[in-house]
Formats: sequence, structure tokens, C-alpha cells
Amino acid sequence: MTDNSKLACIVGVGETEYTRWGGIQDRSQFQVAGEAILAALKDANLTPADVDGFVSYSDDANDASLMQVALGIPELRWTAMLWGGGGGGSCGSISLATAAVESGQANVVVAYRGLCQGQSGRYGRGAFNFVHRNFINPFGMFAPVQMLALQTRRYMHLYGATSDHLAEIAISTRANANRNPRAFMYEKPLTREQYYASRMISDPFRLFDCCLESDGAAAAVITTRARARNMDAKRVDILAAAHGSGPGWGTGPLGSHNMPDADYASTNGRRIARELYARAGVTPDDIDVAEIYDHFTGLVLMALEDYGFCGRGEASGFVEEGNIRWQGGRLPLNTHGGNLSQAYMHGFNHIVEGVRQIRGESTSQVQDAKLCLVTGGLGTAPTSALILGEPA
Amino acid sequence: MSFFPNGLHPEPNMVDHGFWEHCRHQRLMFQSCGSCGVLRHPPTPFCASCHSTEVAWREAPKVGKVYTYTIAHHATDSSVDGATPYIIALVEFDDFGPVRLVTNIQASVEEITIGLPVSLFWDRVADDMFLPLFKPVGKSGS
Repeated sequence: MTDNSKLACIVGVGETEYTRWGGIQDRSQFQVAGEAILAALKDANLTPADVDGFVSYSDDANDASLMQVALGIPELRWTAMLWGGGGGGSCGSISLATAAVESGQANVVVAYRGLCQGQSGRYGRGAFNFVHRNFINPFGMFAPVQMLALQTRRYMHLYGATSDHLAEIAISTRANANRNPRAFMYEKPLTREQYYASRMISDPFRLFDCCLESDGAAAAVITTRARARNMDAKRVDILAAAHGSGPGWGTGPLGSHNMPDADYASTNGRRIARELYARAGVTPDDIDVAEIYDHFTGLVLMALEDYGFCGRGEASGFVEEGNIRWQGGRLPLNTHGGNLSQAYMHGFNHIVEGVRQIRGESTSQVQDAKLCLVTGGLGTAPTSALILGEPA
Repeated sequence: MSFFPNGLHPEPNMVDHGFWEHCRHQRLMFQSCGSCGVLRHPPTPFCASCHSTEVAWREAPKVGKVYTYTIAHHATDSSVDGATPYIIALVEFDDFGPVRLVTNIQASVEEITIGLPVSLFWDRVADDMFLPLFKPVGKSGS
């Protein structure tokens, strides 16, 4: 029998409050990040003295060495930052942590993301200093909403998807947020009429196709299953976590859009999906619930195909049949309300929700959820994903 | 008058200055490998195929077609306040390798569509800089 004791698991998750951008003015982004780390450690019944690794992604500004000092951690043995922006590395930070604990280079690693757009700049207002800005900014292209609208328009042209399908993602995700008191849109239902009445931001994306801009932080504690057995913590196994990029993506849609034609209308995740399922030893049919990075509705359609829940060009039919709905859906999607309606925490809130689903603690709990797919930012390079499961 | 009232312009760097130097002289030139001829964009120091650092610039056709587009209705930067709606498009060229260019199409929002043939024109954005923009084939003026 295979010895799985050295494999990785998540033993704690933590979040601060999530607010609209600019909503957190009384503490620094660094403090907020530290609060999420402490919350995750408390959830795991651990203390900062137990931590010997930190990982993050998307150029998180909350430096690990300074966090070590702030939280009084005696020794850090592993720190790593995953290259690339756009939240592409959220699940990739977990794969960095997994690599550390499974190889014995660290025992307890905390992955975290602290993001207060009110303090660092609004993503919807072109707060990034893009590497290939010379090839986009002079043409009035400043923000991800425009960049991913280009990909989505091409996808709709190729496969006949319509605004109705984008609307289904926005509306079903909102319905999940309406069950989650921690969601920014908790008390705000969204009807089809309201969706269509919302103003166009960058065609085909209307306001409600776009994620929120938020302040807050989230964290998760990763260790080995063997160590977890000696802890007083609820364990969720990491069956596989992967990050990477296909050929020719470079800055991809966040740059000059010269990805290969065969991959253009995709999330850049097809290769990761294959590797992920192979390493986890499961298939898309086995997945009970998915938390897919929803910065913009259109890329979620592409992800449903890239991660094998339906064939190429079939995602519009898949969502039209109600398959992503919490009630009666084959694959309940973004049960916390996602980036669209809970908070834009660069996808780390999707990881937290995935853990909650496996623990049975979600506000939109999927009955007997045993396997959850989580993805990082889509259309980015690198992009990433992971599969969480019940303790084996 | 330039496409954007505020005349947005690039700030050339060590990697991409060759592209913009050609634009300054109203020539749309893309990098190709000086050794094996493979086209590439955006500019990089190496040919991804044979790893040569030799560069031979090749001029793009004057007519391309719209690969995809978006209509920007919301100003995402103060520099384009008042300029909406405008069309951002990705233009590809027949028989010109895999390269595509992010650009603007001077057209009505009703006529923009994927596959639309478009022709190159130059938009003066500074005393010494022109941007390669496109308009539907057969349309006059800029």
C-alpha cells in the first residue's frame, strides 16, 4: 500500500473581513495580511512559533521576512513567491507550499494574500505597470476587463456563446453570495433584468460580468498528513496542486495577445488540467464542486471546457442546462459567491471555500462533497489549480 | 486630431525601441529572426525557434483583418476620459506569420465585427511618434 503520510494537506484557513476597495482604512495592508495568517493558524490550533515557511503570489507586497519579524517566528526555512500577476498563482502558492513540506524543506507553511486595493491602487483603473504596456496602453487598453473581453469575444465568435451564458454565471454566483453573510453582495439579489440593464463596461462585459474590487486578506496552513495526525486540526488533503503555462503565452492577454491561435480562446490551463487529474488519480466526473476563478464571466466558460467538465465549445450548453447551480446542478460553482459577488481576494477566497466545502462548512454546502477543484487566475501565465479531497 | 484627444504614446525601452523607431517613420515593421526568418511579437532578444539574437525587420501588409475586438464603454484611465466608446481590436495579417497587433479601429460600433478587413493608417500622437491604427477597407480619411 502506498504511504501517503508525506503528502500535503491543509489544516487551517483564515480570512479578515472583506470590504469594497478603500473600505479598510484603519489598518495597513500588512497588518490585515498578518491578521489572516493568525486566523488561519488559530483555525489549525497552531501558533506562529510552529510556522517555518511562507509563500505567496502575484507580487504580494507583504514581505515574508517582515512578516516573520512581526509575528515573532523563530526561523523561516522556506519562502517563495510565484511569478506572474492576475491572481494566476493563487493555487500555485499552494503547490509551492506542497513542494516544501513534501520534500521536508519546511514543516508548516502558510500561504497568504493580503490585498487592499484602497491602499495599493484599483485594478479596474489600470493600477498595473504591465511589462508590455507599450503595446496596449497607447491604444486605450489599461485594465484586465478590456484584455479579457478580447479573448471572450473571440470565444463567443468561435462557439456561439451569448450574453445569456455570461448572465447565467453572474446570476448563479450571486445566488450563492446571497446565502453567504461574508459576501459583499449578501443582501443584493441579481435578476436577469438587472443583469441586462447594467451598463456595458467593455463589450461583451457588462458591470455584473466583472469582479469586485476589494480590501482584505486570506491565508491557509499547509503541512504533511503525518504531521496533521498529531495536530488538533481539521484536515483537508491536497490531492494535487499545479501551476504553469503553455508555449508562447508570455504576458498573454495582459500584453500583446500573441498567444497561439489554438490556445487563444482558453484559460491557458489545458495542460495543467491534464497533469492535475493524472497526479490526483481522478477525473472531471469525480469532482463534486468547483471554485473557478471568476474575474470575468467569459473566462469561466473557457475553464469549464479546459478542466474537462464539457467538450470544447460546449460550456454554453453546460451552463444553460443549470449545471453550475447550487440547487440541482451537476457541478455547483463558486459556492461562496466568487470574485464576482463575495470579494476579489485574487482567488485566495476560492481556496478557503474549497476547504470549507470538503469540511462541510459552506453556506452553500454541496451534499457529501468529497472532491473540489479550485483554479487560480485564468488567462494568465502562469495559471494554476488544485484538487482538494477528504482525508484518505 | 489624434484618435485619443490626449495623444497616448509609448515610452520605448531597450527591448522594443526598434519597433517604435519604425513607427516614428510610419512603417509597421515586426521582428523576424535574422537567421531563420521566423516572425515574432512582442519584441524579444532571442528567436524562440533557433535562439539567434540577429534581427531582420519585416514590413507588415497594409491590410489586415480583425481577429477579435472589444468596445470600451468605460474609461479605465483618466487619459481616456471622454473618449468612449472606442474600439480596441486585435488585427492579424494574411501570410504574415503568427503575429497580431493590438490597435484601434476607426469605425462605428455597429460595423465592427470579427473578420472585418481593415487598412492601416498612421495617427500622429506626438511630434515624433505615430501609432499604427486601422479603419475598414474602402473608408477614406483618418
